[in-house]
Amino acid sequence: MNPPRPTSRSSRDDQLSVAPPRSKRVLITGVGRFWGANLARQLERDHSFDFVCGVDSRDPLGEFGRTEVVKGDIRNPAISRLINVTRVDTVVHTQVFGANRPGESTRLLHDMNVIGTMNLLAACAASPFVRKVVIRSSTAIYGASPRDPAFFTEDMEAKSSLRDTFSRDIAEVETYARDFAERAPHAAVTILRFANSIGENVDTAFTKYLSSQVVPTHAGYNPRLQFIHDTDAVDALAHAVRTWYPGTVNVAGPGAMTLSKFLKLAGRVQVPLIPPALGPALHMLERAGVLYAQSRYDRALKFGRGVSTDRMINDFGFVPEYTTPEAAEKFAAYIRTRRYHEGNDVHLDRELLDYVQKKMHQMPSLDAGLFGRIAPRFDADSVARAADTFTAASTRVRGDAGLDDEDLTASYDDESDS
Amino acid sequence: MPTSTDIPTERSVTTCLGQTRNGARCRRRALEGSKFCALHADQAPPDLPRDIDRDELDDAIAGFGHEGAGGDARDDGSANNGPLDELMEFADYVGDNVSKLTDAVANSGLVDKSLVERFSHDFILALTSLVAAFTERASGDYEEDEFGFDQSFTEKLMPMANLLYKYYWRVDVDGIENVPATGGGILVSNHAGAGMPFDGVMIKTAILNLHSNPRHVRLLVLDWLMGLPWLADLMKQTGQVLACSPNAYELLKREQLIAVFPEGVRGMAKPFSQRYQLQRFGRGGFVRIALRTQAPIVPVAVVGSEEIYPKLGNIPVINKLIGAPFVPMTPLFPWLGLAGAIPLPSKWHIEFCDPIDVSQYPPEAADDRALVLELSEQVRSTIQERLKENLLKRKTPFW
Repeated sequence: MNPPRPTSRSSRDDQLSVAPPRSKRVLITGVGRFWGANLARQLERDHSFDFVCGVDSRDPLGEFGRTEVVKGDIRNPAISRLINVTRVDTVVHTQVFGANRPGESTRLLHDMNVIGTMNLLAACAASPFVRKVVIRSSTAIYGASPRDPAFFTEDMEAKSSLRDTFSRDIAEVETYARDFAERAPHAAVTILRFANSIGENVDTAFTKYLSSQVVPTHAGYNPRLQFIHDTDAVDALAHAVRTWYPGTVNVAGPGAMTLSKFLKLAGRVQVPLIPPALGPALHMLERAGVLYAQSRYDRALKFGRGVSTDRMINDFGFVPEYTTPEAAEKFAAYIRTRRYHEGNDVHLDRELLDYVQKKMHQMPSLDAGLFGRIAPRFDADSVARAADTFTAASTRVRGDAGLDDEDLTASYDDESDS
Repeated sequence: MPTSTDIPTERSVTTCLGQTRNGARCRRRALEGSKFCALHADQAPPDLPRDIDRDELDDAIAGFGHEGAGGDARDDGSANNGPLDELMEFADYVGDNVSKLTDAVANSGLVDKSLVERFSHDFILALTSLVAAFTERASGDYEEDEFGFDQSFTEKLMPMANLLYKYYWRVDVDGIENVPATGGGILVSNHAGAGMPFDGVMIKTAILNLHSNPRHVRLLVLDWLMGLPWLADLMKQTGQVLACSPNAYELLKREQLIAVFPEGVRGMAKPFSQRYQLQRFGRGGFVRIALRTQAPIVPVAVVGSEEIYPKLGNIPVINKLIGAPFVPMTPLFPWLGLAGAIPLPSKWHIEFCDPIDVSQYPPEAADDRALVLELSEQVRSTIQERLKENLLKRKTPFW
């Protein structure tokens, strides 16, 4: 599906140098969802990475340039052979998900999270090349209870026993990661504990919950929530790939916002339900397809959760573009006006732009300078801007470089035939 | 002698000329010697002549309504009124009747007249700002910090606390200048009150009322209370946080003033016979926090709070059922039901003692357990000593 890059270099002698080595060949799991797919698109644009490979058992999300997408199950022991044969030095594990899509069973989700991680890390341990493992964990590991501090630091543990399957999965995933770190001291294991991602591109159970017209909440409880903007979440993963930081980091927008404040901003109707009623209400909405996997949010929506971002900013060196209130305001503005920019046109534009992006990767003459300018997000503005840039650039190339129209069309034809 | 009996009794003279929020005429009675009630005194035009004749007055009133609302607001302002405006109107109505009642009390000559006037003013202020506070929350137009603290909401609730502060417990305050005006600080106080943190509320009110830099104290609250529906929310909105050291560090890092009650549940649950006897001060966690953040410790001795709920004993089974640390039995509770939960009107005295400067010790001294316990004991004995002295000074518990 993706033609091999003619420019891929074959420098293997620097693979086993002393730490901290630079990541050059990256394997990303979970390219069927937002985080993996966008991380792959961001890394493939950076030509300091020789090779980007994406694995997922789902269909990949969107189009990719030079990323090689493999459809495969991370629970399969053959993943070890994939890691060896591609000689990746960095593995980014983003396929840890909190909510199953409609049609997927929760058992499968649990299996993917726990068995998949175990198998993937065993494969990493068996590989002589892997030097860095980045794991997308979640702040769900801190649980939610009335005895929680306002801001959890990375050294703290949950104040109550973890009740729902996802946070227990996460706890297990992190145990495997720490095991791996002990068994493979030459490799850096970066565990990123993400707060809930919100934004116009990410589609999770939580964003669905926040943006439904009528939002059921626990009467008498107004939880403090923390968010990370979707682009920041991807940037944080990319930052972990580019830097060397063995350890655990909370990734969230600084600050916090209460649920009622967010719902007021977003213009949603809040329906406070007394405790025994909320569970069934969420369940009914889940069955109606409005939201899914409510159990994960049940306690967090009662008591809220905040994490400290000091380590992320000071030690890990990642400063998110949006704080929690900023991300919330942006997302609230988006869901208020969503009906105006939802529709076929945008989908068509997105397809067009994906195609354009793919073609640009295949044409060496129009290289990196342009890619940097095409935003990975596709709101109406950036689509228009990107289209303008492309037209302007292609006319400039035709005029300046003295390239014939025939050459250009020829190269297009060649690529699309192959 | 310009008492209200001397003034002609037409409504046009004794009724306030001010405008309510929605542009309607105020129906409250004017203050003595003024044409406006206490709420709308700021609307008084500076040069309204004192002895004005009827025609001019009518003109003035008509002109007033016209300028303010940009139309005939007197009659059909209700067309644009939402339920919230109606609520404000109702609050005004209640305030109006309360002021009539207090006028009657004042004129009866049983109580000091200025006291009644001040009280009715404060009461109406408390009522209207209470309504305004919840209106603001309901409208969603509010600011909050990352702990969920809504400063403007809190300030609108303070007149309510002020009623308790001024008229119910008649709080006297000493040493307010010992509270640091800027930067972090830890207030350490004795604790009582059978589960209701009134002592904390009064400390907060005292600082907002009297301090040169009125600051909001952030109280560190017992975890059980922070899990209760509605109450926990209300406490978070008014700036309280759960009592645990990470929260204290976070607040002091943001240069906030915090108040802790090291006696904790032991203090709240002490029987009446042990009033004003300080319980053990935990493990000295607040000293460790002070040493590490170099924030001064201000011991606070509160006299009066330990008599509002004379605790006779515990009601046994119920606390297990609701998960509470204890359920107190007082002379009134649970015999009178919820009315039994009304605190007794003791006379209060709050003393802010000399601050203990910990900056002479390095932050690493926080790991020196002996020093921590010694400083903790020093704070405890300071409070105990001041309590004893202030108790001796007061004549009776009630005035």
